[in-house]
Amino acid sequence: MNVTTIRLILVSLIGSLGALVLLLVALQLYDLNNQSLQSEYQLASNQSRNQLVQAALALAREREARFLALSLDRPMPLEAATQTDQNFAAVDGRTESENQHADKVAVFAAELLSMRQTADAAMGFPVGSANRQDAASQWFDSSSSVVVDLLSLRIKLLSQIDNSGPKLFGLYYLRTQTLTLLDALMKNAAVMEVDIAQVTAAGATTQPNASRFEPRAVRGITLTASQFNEDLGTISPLPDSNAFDFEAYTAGELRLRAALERGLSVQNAANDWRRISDEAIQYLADLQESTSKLTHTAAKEHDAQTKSMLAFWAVVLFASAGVVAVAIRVVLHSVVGPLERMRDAMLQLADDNFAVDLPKKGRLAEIDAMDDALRVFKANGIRRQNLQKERLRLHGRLEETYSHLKTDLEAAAAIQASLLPKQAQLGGVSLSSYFRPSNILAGDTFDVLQQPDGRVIVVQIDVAGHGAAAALVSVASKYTVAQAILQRQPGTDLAALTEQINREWPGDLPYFTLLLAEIDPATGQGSMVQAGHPSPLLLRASGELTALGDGGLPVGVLASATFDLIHFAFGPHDRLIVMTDGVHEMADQNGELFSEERVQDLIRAAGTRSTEHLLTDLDNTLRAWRGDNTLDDDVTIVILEGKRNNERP
Amino acid sequence: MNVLEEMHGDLMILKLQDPRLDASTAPALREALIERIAKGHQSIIIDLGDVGFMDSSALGALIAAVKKLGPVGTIAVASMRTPVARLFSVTRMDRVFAVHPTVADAVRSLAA
Repeated sequence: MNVTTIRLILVSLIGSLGALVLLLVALQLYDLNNQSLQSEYQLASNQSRNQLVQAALALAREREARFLALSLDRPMPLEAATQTDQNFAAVDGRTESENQHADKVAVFAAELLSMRQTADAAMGFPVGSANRQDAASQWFDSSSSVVVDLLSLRIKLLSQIDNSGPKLFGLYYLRTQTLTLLDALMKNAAVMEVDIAQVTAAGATTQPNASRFEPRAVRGITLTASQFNEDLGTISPLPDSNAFDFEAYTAGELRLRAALERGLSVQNAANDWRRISDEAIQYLADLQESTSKLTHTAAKEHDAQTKSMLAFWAVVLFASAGVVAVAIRVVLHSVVGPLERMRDAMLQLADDNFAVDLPKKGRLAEIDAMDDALRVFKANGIRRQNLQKERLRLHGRLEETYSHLKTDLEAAAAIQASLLPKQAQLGGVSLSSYFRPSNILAGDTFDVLQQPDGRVIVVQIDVAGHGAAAALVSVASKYTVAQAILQRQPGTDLAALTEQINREWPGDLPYFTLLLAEIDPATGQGSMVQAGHPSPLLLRASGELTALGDGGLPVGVLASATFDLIHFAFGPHDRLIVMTDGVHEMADQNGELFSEERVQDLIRAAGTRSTEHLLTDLDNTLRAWRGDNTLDDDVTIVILEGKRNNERP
Repeated sequence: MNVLEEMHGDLMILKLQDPRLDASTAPALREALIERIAKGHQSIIIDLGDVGFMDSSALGALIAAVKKLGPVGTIAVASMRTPVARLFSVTRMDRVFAVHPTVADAVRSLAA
């Protein structure tokens, strides 16, 4: 499984969303920029077309003036040619694609010069002469064709722009119609003027120049004007959109024609006609003027609108980019940053590094909640660590204390062991012993005392329990017994001595079992007292084994207790074996006790072997019985052996 | 320390249920007995029928109870098995405690 990060997810999500928005806005901007370029081009095209129109109209006016000068010798206004030239020169190539029309206008201007020269040359012929009439007609036709060419250039330019939108399209169309009609009316006015002059000069009816009049004026005007009015009505883009009064114009012309044919009231009809014709031309010129302004305004508006849209979307683009940047920054700063700091802190806490600084509180509720939890974790972690330290410290102290105690106990045990008599020769008796405390310090103890008269007294004590308390009691009891023996009055036997010890033993101390035995090597006699202690065994030199005594109260149970004194013979190589109950009460792994019977069987089997061997056998057998080196109770065995007579010193 | 307690009139019969009474159980046994004596029970029969082994520590607990009770009260032991009887014999505890072969015998004897 791929592991990703919140940072990566959030940044990529916001980033891709932002990129998408920015892309859409950029596309919009690109489109608007194209539109803007187009509208600029449209504006430029508009101006170029207007220049062409102005040039065409100026030429149309010069056409009339020069035609009338040639035909009727009317004075030629000085400014007519100048204005034409100026308007031709004004046509410039504003846009790359329009360079061609500027070049063509330059060609027209050159042609115009030669046409003028031809016309000027004809001025030398008399008015009304065939040469001059021909020159007039030639001028009229050739200049008209230039006017038509100029207007055609305009149409061509118009076709190159995107005249989308019904309003603009209608305007362009209306202008085309207006210009065509205007050209026709201007031509008609010039032709009619010549007809009027010819009739007036002849003073009689003349046939009007029907060939020029019919096709160029009335028919064309009829077609154009009817279409024009229809369009004007349909499109109606102008505030003042009165239809061209075709009826009035045609009626005026028909009246003039009638007057010319009849030769009556020619002047009146001519004046009437001139007024109607001038008004119509003026109307169309005005219309041309106002539609020109209108298209220009519309193009400018469109351009401005496009540019403001462009600006708007540019602002949107920057705002979007800003929003995306701010969003990414906010997410990184307010969400991802705190989360990452928290993650780092968590990892540190997990490593038990509680010195780590936790992130500061922020402004997000969830982050704050996590932060609070983290503080609790930290506090808990520190507490846990302190507890752990405390526990380890206590554990250390416990170990130290235990170690001290153990050292103390071992030292005490060493002292206890050193106080026990070693293997020794005491007059006619030799001593051997076997001593195993169950728990460092023993409740068992023993001693052997040699009396000045050669008798040997053996003492064995077993305080209930084991450990320090039992050991202290065993020391106290051994001391008490030893004192009693030392202060023993002559004639006091061991039973009386034991009764004395029992009487004097403090009632609040635990009881103990005691075995006291006294051997007189000189007489070969022995006596003993058994106070709660197991019966000692007497192993004769012959190997015969007997248990001595049948019990007795321990010391410290009943103050008034009495004890039995038991006598026995003790010759050379006889052995008195005194042991504590730890021997026969030793349990094996199943809890079975070793038992007095097994002890006796073992000693009986050892028979006459040496005491050293006997103790070794006992040790081996007991350890094997137990199965390990532990003990439930202290084990003590003391063996006194009478020497051979010849061994006596 | 598992003790089953039963009253028979003024007689309290305690059945010790541990098979082995030694240094590890002796303090609890001592506490159990001293506590009942402190409550005023003066005639107590201890049923040792379940006890297979008793050592000097447990014996010390019984002795402590006798000392606590003083001369006015009685502690009897009943149903001792051989190893325990031998301990009682060696230590002459049969002189300190009234020993009976069965609990019924002990009850009869103490009630008389």
